Amino acid sequence: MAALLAVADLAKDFPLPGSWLRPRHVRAVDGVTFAIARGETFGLVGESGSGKSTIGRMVARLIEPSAGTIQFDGGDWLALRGATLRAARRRIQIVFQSPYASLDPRWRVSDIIGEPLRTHLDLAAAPLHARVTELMAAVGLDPAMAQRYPHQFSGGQRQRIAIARAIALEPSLLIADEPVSALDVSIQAQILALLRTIHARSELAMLFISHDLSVVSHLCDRVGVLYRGRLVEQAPTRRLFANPAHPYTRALLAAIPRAGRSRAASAGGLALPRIGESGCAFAPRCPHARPACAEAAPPEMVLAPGHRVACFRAGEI
Amino acid sequence: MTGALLELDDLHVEYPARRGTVRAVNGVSLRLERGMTLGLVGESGCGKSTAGQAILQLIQPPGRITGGRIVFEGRDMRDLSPEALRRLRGDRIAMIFQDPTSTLNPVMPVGAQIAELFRWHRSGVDGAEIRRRVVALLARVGIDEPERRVRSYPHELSGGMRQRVVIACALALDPALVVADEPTTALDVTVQAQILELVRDLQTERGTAVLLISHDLGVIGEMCDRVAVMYAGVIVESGAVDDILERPRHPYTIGLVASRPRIGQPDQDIRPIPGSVPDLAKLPTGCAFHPRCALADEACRNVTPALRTIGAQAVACHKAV
Repeated sequence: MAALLAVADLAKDFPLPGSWLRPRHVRAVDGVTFAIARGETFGLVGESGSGKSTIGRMVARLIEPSAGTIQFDGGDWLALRGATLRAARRRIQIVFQSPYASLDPRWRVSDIIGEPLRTHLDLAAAPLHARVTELMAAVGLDPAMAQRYPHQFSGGQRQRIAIARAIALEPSLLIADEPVSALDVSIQAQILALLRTIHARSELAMLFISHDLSVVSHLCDRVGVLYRGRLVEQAPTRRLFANPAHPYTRALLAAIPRAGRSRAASAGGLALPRIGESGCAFAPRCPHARPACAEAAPPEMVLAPGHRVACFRAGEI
Repeated sequence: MTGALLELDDLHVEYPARRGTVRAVNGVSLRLERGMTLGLVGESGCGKSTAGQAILQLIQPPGRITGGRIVFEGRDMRDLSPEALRRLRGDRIAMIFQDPTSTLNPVMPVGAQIAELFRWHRSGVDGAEIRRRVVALLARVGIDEPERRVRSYPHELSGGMRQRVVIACALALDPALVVADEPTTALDVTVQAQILELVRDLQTERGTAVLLISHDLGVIGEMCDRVAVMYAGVIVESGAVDDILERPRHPYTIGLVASRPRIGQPDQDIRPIPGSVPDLAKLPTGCAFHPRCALADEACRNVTPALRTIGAQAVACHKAV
């Protein structure tokens, strides 16, 4: 089956502050390639500055890539402009981390959830009201609260509002950028359960972005691991956690705090970002690095069906 | 000296608010022995940070401690004069906060900030000796080229490095107790692992007791000997960390443990706790957890449960077995 979303060699350069006379850039995303099938949940995991949110924003067309291609439903997603792009946006929706920043405080909940329906479908008042009621019920909110404002809701409830707005137009792909990171663990579990239910009920594919491996492993069919803008490993969830092949993935898994965790699991020192270097970005921290690792970027190799890793030494370590 | 290093006895902290009195800490008792690590775990607004601040008498007015005792090394902290408190803080008790950026002075080199502690608390130590100790501390917390780094400003360091400097400040005078409030929550997971390891090593080396306040059961499980679970200003369950994490008995702790997705188990059925935490100004009657609890009955709605011993732990629940 053809992929719903196919991202190839995606890159993003950002100008460094204070360099407008002689522009210098930092490459936040570098040669990222992955695909998401219809109805599939793909997780992107990485630490701060790994480029995971930048990828989500490029797929949502909130920022433009510096290089690479994005195919969506067989078409060139990056070629869309103006009115065509605006109309197409209903196919890909995004939920952000902060349910405080992403909802307009002066709008009633019914207006927030109803806005995409008005904009894209031009629904009349009665069907609009019916659809908003239906959506609120679907995300576990009491439709009687439709006339309230965001500040009258808790963080978890606000994230439900954001999710209701995002699924209102029945998109094919939902990008969820750290949707539960601002929430307490008991509320986080409620939102994860909600996302699972929505996913089970529809043909919705999901790009789930998070720093939290346990959340990603819970929700996703496949996971990609980002390090300094590069996708170092991707595999079906179970396989990735059972057989992590990249030294960074291993370090990340070993770093998860838990009772009885073995000591000295953390990898190497804290190397500062090395921009514009040609070798493997993880080499300065990698316990398995060899001189060759610093010279050229390791190409992706396939270890097993669907399990790809970018490491020269993946087969031998 | 006999007895625990730190003992809280029926501590109450309140904040007046327009919507009523916020009972942030509502009768908390706990004990921490010398050299041990006690975890205080709970979600936002459960009162765990307030309890930590109360120990060092850092509650900002209009908030105030309205009852209970805080006995540290045999003395009630509430009886100490401001001068005695100043001498104690940073010396016998130190605190580490979540955000190293707001803890450190942005316009002072990090070395000078550590040296200040010696000048305040160890007036007999001369400049050369202070400098030697500061460099040794920075080296000990894992900062490369400490002789050069003493002159660095906080903004020149990464988040992990700043938290190492904060730890160096906390341990400079060899305190008996460190209160660490979410010390690694702002850090990436690989950096967090390094910081936790550092704290553990230093603790073993120096015999420091740690009160670790965290929302993260994983961090608590890894670091602590004992743990107390807070909900709506009270301790609902406490005991040895393995007992609490493996055999939780309070419905809230059971829910908290069941809410955590476990790694590499995509088919795991996580069971969220329904509802959300109560407003501390409008606490439910009886057990504060009863509106979210599947086991709640008449007694739970009316009578506040006291901590009682069940198996190896103490549980404040009418229904727990």
